[in-house]
Amino acid sequence: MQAFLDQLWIARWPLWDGLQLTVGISAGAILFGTLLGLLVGIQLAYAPWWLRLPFRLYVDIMRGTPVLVLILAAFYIPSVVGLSLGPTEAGTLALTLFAGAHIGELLRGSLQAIPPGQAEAGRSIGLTFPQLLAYVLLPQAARSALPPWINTGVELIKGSSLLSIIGVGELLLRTQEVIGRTFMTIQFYVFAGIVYLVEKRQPLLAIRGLTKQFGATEVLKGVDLSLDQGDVVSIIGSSGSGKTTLLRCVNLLEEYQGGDIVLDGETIGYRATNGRRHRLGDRELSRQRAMTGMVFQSFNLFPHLSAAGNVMLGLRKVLRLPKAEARAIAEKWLARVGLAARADHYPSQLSGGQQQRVAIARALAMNPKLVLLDEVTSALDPELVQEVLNTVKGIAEDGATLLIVTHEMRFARDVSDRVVFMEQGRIHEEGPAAEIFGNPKSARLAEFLRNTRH
Amino acid sequence: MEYSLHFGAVWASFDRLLSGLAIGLALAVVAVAIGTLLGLLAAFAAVSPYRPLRSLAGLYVSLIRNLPLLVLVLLAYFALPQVGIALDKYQSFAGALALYSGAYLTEVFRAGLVSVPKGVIEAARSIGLTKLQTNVSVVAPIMLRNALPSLGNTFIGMFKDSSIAAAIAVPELTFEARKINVDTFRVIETWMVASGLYIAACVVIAALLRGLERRFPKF
Repeated sequence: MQAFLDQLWIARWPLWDGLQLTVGISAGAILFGTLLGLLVGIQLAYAPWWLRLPFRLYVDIMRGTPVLVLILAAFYIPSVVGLSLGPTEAGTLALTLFAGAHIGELLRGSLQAIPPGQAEAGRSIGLTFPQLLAYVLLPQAARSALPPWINTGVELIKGSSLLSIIGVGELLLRTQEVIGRTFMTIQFYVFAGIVYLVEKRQPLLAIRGLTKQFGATEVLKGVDLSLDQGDVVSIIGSSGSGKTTLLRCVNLLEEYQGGDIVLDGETIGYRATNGRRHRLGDRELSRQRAMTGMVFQSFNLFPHLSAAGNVMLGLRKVLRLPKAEARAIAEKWLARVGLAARADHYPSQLSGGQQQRVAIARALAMNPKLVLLDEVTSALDPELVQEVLNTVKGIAEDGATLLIVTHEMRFARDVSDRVVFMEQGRIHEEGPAAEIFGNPKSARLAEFLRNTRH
Repeated sequence: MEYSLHFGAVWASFDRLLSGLAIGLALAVVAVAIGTLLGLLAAFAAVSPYRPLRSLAGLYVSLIRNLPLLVLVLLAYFALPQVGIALDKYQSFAGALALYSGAYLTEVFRAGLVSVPKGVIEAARSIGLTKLQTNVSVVAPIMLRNALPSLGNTFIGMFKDSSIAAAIAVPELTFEARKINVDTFRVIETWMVASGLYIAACVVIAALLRGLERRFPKF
C-alpha cells in the first residue's frame, strides 16, 4: 500500500491532467449536447413530419451506434475529407453528437407528457410560440427530464474513457502510462475505477419475462420485476395468483420454462449453450441459493438441531467457518431477533413465533444479498403474529433487501417501499405502497382490497 | 414323570455358553453394522428420482426378504465356494446376516426418509447446502431419530437370528448349548440356561436402545 501511495504521488500530475481533461471533455460534451438536444427535442415534439424526419434519423443513428464507433468515426472521417481534428476535438465532437441524440429524445418524451391544456392556456393569454416554450413548456419538461439528464452526464464521463483509444491524454490513458512504468497494474486500475465510479446503478434483482407451467397449467405468464439494493417490496394477491411460486423460482426451488432471473449481475438457475437452456448443476445451484435467504410459511427449522445449531449449519457447511466463529455469528443474530436466551433450545421447545424468528436469523446469518419471505405469519397463532412482523420491520430498517409475499395488508403498507399486486400469473398493478392501497387504479385490485379488509 | 433338575453339569460348561454368547453378539454387531450401511444406501436409492436406482433397491429388498435366513447362510457357506469365493464360516455367516438385515433395515429407513418434512429439506437447500450435504447433515439425522424404535426391533431380531449360525457349526450360544446337551443329557437345564442368556442379552440391548430414545427426544 505504501509503495502504491508513493507511486501515486509521483504520478499525481499526469493523473491530474488526465482527470482535468476527462472532466473538461465531458463538460463540453454535456454543454454542447444539451444545446443540440434542446433543438432536436423541440423539433421532434412540435415540427411537421418533413422537418421531423432528419432529426428522427439523426437520433436513431446515434442511439444505435456504440460510443466507440462514434469516437473512431469522428477521429478518422474528417481527415478523409481534408479536415484535420485533433483527438481532443474529435472526442468532444463524438460525445456531443451522442449526448445530443440522447438528450433530444428524452426532452421529446418530457415535452409530450405535458398536458395539451398547458399549451392552449399559454396561447390563450397571447404568448408567442418561443415565449410559450421558454416560460411554460420547457420549465415543466426540465423537471421530469432532469434525472435522466444526469444519467446521460454520467454515461458521458464514463464514455470519455474510450477516448484513450484515439490518443486523448485523459485519465485512462494516463493511468495506462503510469502502469507501464510501475507495473502496479491492479492498484492503478482500481484507482482509476474509483475515480470513474459515479454510481453505476444496476438492479440487485431483475426478473424478466418469467414463465412457468405445472403440466398444462400456466402459473406464471411473463413476470417482470426489479429490485434495487435496500428495496422492500411486497407481493400481494389472492391465493393461486403465483406469488409464492415467483418467490420459489428466485430461490431456485422451482424450475421455470421461460425468462431470466438476474441476481447482482449474474443470471441464476440456467445456462444457455447454443441457444438451449440447461439447468445448472447441484453445486452451482447451491452456491447461487446461498446468495438469497428464504423464510418459509411453515418455519422448516431443522428439528434435530438447537436454535443456534440451525443458524450455524449453513455457516459451517456452506461458508465453512470454524465452529467458534459460526457460534458467535449465530448468537449475534439470535440476539438480533430477541432470542439470545433460547440459543440452546430445540425447535420443539419454542413457540411458533420464536421458531419463525430463529428461521429469520438462520436466513440472515448467511449474509444474503436478498431475503425472500413467504407468508411468514400465516402459520402463526394471531397473538404471535406481531412479534414476527416487528422482527421483519427491524431487519428492513437495517437496510436488508426484502421481497415479501404476505396477506397482512397493514404490514405490507407499513414496511414496503413498493407493492406488487399479482393476479393470475401476471403483475396486475405495481406502485408505491400508499398508491396501491390508497388509490388503486384497476378495478380488480380495488375489489381485492375490499375483500381483504375486515 | 419324575425329573429332578441338576444344573451342576451345565454350570461346569458355563464358560462355553458365555463364549458362545459373545461370538453370537459379535457376529450380530458386525452384520448389523454392514447391514445398516447397506440399508441406508438402499433406502436413499429407493426414494431417489432415478428409476434404475429405485428398481435396484426394490429388487434387493424383495429378493432377500423372501428368502429364509437359513437358505442365505447355506448359500453363502456351501454354494459360494463352488464359484471360487471361499469364505470361512464366520465370514459367510456375517455376510449372509448383513445382507439379510440390510433388506429389513432398508424398509425401516425408507419409512423414516418419507417422514422427513419436505419443507425442512427445502430450508436446507435454501441456505445453500448441496444435495449430499443436505442428506448427511439434515435428512439422515431426522430419519435416524424417526426410525429409532423400529431400528431397535430389527437389532434384537438380528441378534436372535445369530442362533442360525449353529447350522454351519459356528461355536455360538445355540451350538454350544447343543453340544452340552448331547454330552450331559441335561436337556431342560441346558436350554433353560441358554434361553436365560438370550433373554438377558436382549433385555440389555432393548434397555440400551430405550436409553438412546430418551437421550434424543422425539421432535
